[in-house]
Amino acid sequence: MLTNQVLLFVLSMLIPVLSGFFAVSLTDRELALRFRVVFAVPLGFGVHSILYFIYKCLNVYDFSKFRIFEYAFVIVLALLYYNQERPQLSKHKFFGMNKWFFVLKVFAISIFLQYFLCNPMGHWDGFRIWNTKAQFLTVQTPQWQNVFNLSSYLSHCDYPLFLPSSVARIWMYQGGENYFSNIVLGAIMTFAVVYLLYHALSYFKNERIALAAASLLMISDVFLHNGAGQCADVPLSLFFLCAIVCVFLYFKSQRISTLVLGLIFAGLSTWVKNEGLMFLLIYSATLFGYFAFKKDWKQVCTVAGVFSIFISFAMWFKSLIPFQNDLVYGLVHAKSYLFAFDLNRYIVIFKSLIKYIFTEFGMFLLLLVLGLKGLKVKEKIRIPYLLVCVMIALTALGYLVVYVVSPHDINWIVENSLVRIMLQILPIILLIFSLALRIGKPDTLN
Amino acid sequence: MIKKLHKIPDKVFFGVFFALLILWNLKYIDMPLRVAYSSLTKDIYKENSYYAMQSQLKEEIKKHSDFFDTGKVGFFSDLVGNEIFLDAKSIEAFYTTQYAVVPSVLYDNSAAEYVVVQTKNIDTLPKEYKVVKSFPNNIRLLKRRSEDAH
Repeated sequence: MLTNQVLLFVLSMLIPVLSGFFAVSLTDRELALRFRVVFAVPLGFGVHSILYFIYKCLNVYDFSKFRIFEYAFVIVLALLYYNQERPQLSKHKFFGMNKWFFVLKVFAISIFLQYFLCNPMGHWDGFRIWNTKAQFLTVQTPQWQNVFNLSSYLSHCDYPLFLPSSVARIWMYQGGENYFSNIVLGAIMTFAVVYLLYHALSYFKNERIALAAASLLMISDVFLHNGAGQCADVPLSLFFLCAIVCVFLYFKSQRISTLVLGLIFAGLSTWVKNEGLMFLLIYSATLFGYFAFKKDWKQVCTVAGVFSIFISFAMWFKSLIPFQNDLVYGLVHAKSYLFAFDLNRYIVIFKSLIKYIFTEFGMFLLLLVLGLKGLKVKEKIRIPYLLVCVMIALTALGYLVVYVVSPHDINWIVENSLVRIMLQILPIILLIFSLALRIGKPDTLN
Repeated sequence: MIKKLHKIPDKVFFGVFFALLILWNLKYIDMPLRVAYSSLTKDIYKENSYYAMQSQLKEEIKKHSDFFDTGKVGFFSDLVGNEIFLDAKSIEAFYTTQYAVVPSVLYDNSAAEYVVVQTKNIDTLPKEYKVVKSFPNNIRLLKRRSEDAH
């Protein structure tokens, strides 16, 4: 019985990773192996989460059928992969990771587990918002649809269901609620962010800077606690980072498939949190604007096409929810846009931002030591670098606007969410800052 | 100044960076041992208040076959109106109960066949309800008396 449960648990985790790997490899055949492996995690879990939600919407209520469908899905992807590409692992470079990284990982896992041992059901929001919804999604009767009718606005019925759907899917494999699987899923997402940051920096910059930036993230308690908190912010940061890394990869390789992959990650982020919707708009608009300016019409059409698919999916999901989002409700009914003229709200936001930079995120300022030799962006990555800077600046501006016009008490909302909002874009900030460091060969003036 | 900095080898900067990183995180030096000890000695679920509360409620709910019939459960506390969502203990009780009563929806200040009440004073309990079970933190599960139900 226990062996069977362990096997099903391993299967529930392995299937998304495998199908993610095959799907990434089929989309972009030339992509370096290290990116295929890390991209497999968000793509696989993202797609299987959507598939599980669609299965719920079809009102089938027979999980064994869904399981068979998943097996078939991964087998088809594997056949397509092996049919068109014989895996030649020799053409991919394998990099032995620094021993320091493994020592750090022991401590990182300890910090991560310590949080779980104290909060097995996750952070208060993780339990209250995400795991409650996961419970609804395990219900095998039409009553699961009550997930859209929760009475308190703090239950956020309009939030996308990536995390609840992923958790519910794994719980169904195991035959019921099991918080150990939540923490494993959280660990996969959290450490995938660290590994992606490491690989992206070692690919575009150098090994030592990659090690420094990834070490900071890996040992950061605020990052690890949020990852272990079973909330959606760290998974969202993974989707954001994947999309951003794809921008750099696209401009290096000029392969349209890499561009598609980046848009898929930005699109899937709409399924993780509402902030993903804003990110998709900004990401697509920036790329659309750039390619239109360059008159690269094929790329313009690609951006528009992938964007339309994901925006349609997001709109369909929103149409299932009978309530208005609290922000939209505030703007329409409470004229909360008038808060834009309230200087006090800006002061509260910026004061809290500065406070958190020097407290919760103080350790990240250590990176400034490496910045003492100055900053310089390589000529080769200048265009994607500028585009990513525009994207991240617009995203930060979007967050500011949302805070300012939010109908809620500004002190309360900043206190309860600003750290997590900062975490969503933290890996990207680390990436773009580290890419601009002059230190390290060949950029240094030494 | 910048030129002087450039004369310093890169490895010095990296050395300073990693030394500072280690110093910053010295507090975690015994963390692997602490975690190993906690995981061997601690019953993480029993010691967690949310988990304990929701699992007790779930256990009780299992005994009532008609619990999910209406898909609605009421919630009352000593606080009136929206104040339920302004008090930390009340918020905790509300959402823990919502978790336990899935797939039913919990409505604050609403009557239903079953209601969950968080009150210090049992005299304030509605008369048309009987107490099914009492839980820690002044939480009680009530059921409407059958004569009132019809």
